Amino acid sequence: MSALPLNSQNLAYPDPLHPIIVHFVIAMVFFSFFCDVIGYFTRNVRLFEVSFWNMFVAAIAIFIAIIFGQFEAGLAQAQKAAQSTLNYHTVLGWSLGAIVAAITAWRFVIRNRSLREIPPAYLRAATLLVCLVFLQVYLGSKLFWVYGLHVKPVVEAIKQGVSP
Amino acid sequence: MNPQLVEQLRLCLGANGLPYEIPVHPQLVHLTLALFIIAIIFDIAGVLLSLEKPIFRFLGLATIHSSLFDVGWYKLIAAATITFLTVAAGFFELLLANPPVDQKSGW
Repeated sequence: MSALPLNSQNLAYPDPLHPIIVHFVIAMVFFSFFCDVIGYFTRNVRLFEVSFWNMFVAAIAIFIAIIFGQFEAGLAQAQKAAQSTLNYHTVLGWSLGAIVAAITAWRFVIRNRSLREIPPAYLRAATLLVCLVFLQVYLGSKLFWVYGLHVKPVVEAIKQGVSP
Repeated sequence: MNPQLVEQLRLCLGANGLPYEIPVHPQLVHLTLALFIIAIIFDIAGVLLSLEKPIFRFLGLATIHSSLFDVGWYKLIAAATITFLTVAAGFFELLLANPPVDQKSGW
């Protein structure tokens, strides 16, 4: 299949890296939104700065997350039951990459123009982004905690021909 | 597994030994971990700002020490707050877990 030596979890390295990198994207997007909303209502200018830097980190981290996610999805022997969830997760993941990049660019423009206020339109867009991230986290968690992609006993069972 | 707890709270456990589809602790831990790590990184970045000036100038980002320290501070507060929920969910799910006792973890 491939020249890569794979371990008992079907990976080229000890543990999946995608779930570690997504920590940064998830927490940064949520906290950025949280700071924007709190800053909007309390008019705390410092929170807008925090929000911008959070989005900035999220925009960098999401592309690393996508690369590792794609790599590990390719190495996973996804059983039939997991296939559709994995497809949704992949499509939404790439879309979120574009959306987070766009939102960060927008946030950058807002920051450059003024540090004093945030347009409600941006908050609406960010709300949508947070909902999509929630959905993506749910799909990703399902792949690991329900379907057991890259989980040793599941990988072994599938190799032995057990297929749910 | 803790049968007393299950009985007391009248929980209906699913296939994963939890009353819900996906464990909550690994979701909350996203926030604890990333907020704390990035908070420290921003604090370090704030200290080393003079070294990073060329990068920020290249990116067209106006930056001052205090704003980077603010980022670190607020994130640290958020991490400290959310961690109580993470620990609570972790303990609850730990009580419902059924770990094998005849194996030794690599950790």
